[in-house]
Amino acid sequence: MKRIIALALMALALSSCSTGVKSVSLVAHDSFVISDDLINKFEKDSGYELKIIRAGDVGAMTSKLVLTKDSPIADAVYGIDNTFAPVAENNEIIDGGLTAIDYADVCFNVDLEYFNQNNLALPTSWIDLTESKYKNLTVIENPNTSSTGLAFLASTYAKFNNPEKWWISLRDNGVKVAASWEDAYYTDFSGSAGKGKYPIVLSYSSSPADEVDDAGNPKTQSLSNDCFRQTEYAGVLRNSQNSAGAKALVEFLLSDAFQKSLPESMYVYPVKDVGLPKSWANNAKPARSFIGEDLDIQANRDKWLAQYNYIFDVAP
Amino acid sequence: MLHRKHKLLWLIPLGFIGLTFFYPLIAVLNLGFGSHLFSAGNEQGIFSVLGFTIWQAAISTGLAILLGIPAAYLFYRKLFPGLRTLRAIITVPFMLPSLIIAMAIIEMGRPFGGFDPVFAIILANVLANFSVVVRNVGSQWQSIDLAQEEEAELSGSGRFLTALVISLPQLTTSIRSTIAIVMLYCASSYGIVLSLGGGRINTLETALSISVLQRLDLQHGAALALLQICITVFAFTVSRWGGANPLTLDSSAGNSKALDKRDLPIAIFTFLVTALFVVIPLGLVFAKAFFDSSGNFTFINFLLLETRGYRDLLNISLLEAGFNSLRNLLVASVIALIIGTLVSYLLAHRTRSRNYKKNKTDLIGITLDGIFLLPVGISAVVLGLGYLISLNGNLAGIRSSWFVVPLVQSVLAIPLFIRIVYPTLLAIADNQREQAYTDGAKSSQVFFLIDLAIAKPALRAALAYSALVSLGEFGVASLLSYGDQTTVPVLLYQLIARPGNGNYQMALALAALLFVITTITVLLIDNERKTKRS
Repeated sequence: MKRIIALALMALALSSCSTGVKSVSLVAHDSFVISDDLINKFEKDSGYELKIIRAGDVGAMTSKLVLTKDSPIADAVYGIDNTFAPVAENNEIIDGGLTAIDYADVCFNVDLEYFNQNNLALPTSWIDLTESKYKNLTVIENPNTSSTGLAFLASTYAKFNNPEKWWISLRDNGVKVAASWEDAYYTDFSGSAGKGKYPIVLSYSSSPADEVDDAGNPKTQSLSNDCFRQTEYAGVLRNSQNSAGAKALVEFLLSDAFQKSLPESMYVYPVKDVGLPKSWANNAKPARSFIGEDLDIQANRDKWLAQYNYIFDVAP
Repeated sequence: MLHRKHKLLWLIPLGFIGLTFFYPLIAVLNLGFGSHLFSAGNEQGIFSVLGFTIWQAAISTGLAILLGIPAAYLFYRKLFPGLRTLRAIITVPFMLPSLIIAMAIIEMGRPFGGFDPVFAIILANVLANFSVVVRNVGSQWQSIDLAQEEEAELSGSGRFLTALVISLPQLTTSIRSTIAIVMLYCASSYGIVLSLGGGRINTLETALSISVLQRLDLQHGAALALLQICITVFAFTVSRWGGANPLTLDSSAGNSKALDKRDLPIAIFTFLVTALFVVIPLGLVFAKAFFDSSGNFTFINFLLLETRGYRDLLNISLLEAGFNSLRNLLVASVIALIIGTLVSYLLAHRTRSRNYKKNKTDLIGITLDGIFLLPVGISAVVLGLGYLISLNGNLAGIRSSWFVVPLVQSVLAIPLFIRIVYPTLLAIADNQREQAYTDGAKSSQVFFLIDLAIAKPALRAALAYSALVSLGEFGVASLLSYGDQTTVPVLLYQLIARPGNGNYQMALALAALLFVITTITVLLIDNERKTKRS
């Protein structure tokens, strides 16, 4: 027995010893994807071992970082977007400011097959979705639980001074509210894998890149007017144990190699001009016009959500 | 002398629960109460969430009681072939990860175009707690003498009337305590509401998670947490009224009779209920694991388990997560074994030395018991945040180490452990122990040589149940297991939350595996205890 305890203690001591290589840790949201090749490249170029911590969605991740700002759970952060950037800034969790890495445009997508088969005209903008010919056709995400849904809620406030009336007619036009983007897109949307019942979905301008038939023709299309641009940032966390490593990491996220990987890995547009994959250049261009950039989402979020919840009768 | 030693011994479990549970809990509440409570605008939200939480728990509990009492009669008052296996089968849902319960209800609702979220949550609650009712009420029923019921029947009253007039009044204590404990479970089911509520339906647990994690509103969160504590304390007090011992997992032999013709209606009812609420939903998840998304029979879903999901969604592979879960499970059960046995022993000693009757105890005894039960009703989000906040500075190393997850899981397993071991220790006949004392044995010798030896099957069962608690635990693990420390249920949630491109198929295969592991464990425990007893 004593020998087993001694062995266990030894194993514990060994496992807690560092291996000599200094490590740097990155906290990111659950949707963060990086290839093993890129990890190896960073580790080789910088000499740091990379540890990745996924800490929930953007909101949960930002909250955790605020709550632990005195001794942060990582050295650098990736994925705080413009909706949560004010939280990060007001709580001073970032050392030296946030750096934009990529962006995505929140636009509605339509299932072209459905519209062709039913001889239905495509809506020109999301504003048309309250029309009776689009009754029971649309699925959106709940802004309480989805950053995509929140982004869209914000764009209605950018478009109208008082969008409540528009939201009531959207509700009465049979809009479905899903909890997450994945639920809406993969389960409820008719134009993707789940073959759901709704031919209009709140998604991204880049989503059609993944929905082409065998001949390479697009099966879905985004409505590229009045979209909402979500920018994702990275930054060095204040009080980090390894801020030099964190700085190197943020620089790496801006390197050509990582920027080039963004469309294929995370379906977002790189901030640097490194070109887009071919299928993107045709079917998944960024939005033509976007709105809501100058909104202070953080200051208004609770008020907007309260109004939304009142209309949709959700207890917060 | 002996008493002082026991009082000192209490310091170990009390210190443990204080540091691992009350300290982080107070840290969260403290942070939330920095400014005044119930700030304007929040009030209505809080009370509507509280109202819904209690309402859905009450409906679910009512249903579970109505469906469970006839089953308790059949499974504990009657004898028929296959009885033990059936008893074990209905226990499986209670021990399954709540996410698998949610998947079962999703699958069940699919042919109907998906259930309404509120209906789905209630169904899931019934499925998860049906066996709690059957076991609790059944074991009490089993201990009632058959004579009265037989007499009533001889004087011509039917089975139903006999149960209503003779049996049920004698079962009120056990039914009341069962109602309280099932309501507590239903009011605090995080995984079920999270995956079935679709973000539109919130109970205290999910509302708390949204207000703290999404809105960083700690005040609101602390108010919700305080309400949860009140509900838990209230439910526990009700359940202990009259000396009942809630949460029975022990099924000691009792007074049962062979099944006869007049039991036919109740037997049919019970088998239908068991089929509809237990066998069909769980069977669907299991069967679906063998089909791809277009409905072809295949083993591909199990092969997918080798991958990290579509677009490398998962942090780590299932194998690595399986290793994490296994390690957590071992550590959590060992801690639960040490602390749980110690508390059970000390509680039993207290009851015995004060000559209380079986299951009766005084206010201090109830409080001591309650202290260890409280974690069952406290949101995993609160606990997880408590650890995030209170473990900083020099303690930050513990926070980010893997050890923190099994540590909290053991806190959640200990109440169950005590529920199994404490009654067994109490039931050990005094003459055996007295004989040992007369022969000059020390109290430690009596404990190790007599108590532990006799309680061995119960200890083994408690250990297995603790392991299952750790294996299925989701809330704490989802908050505190970072990166490469992810556990299997967290992986399962990530897969369910991102359906499409094989991820949901992967989740089904994983659920099927966990289902098999849980069922085998439950059957083994049951079998083990049967052979030991006979």
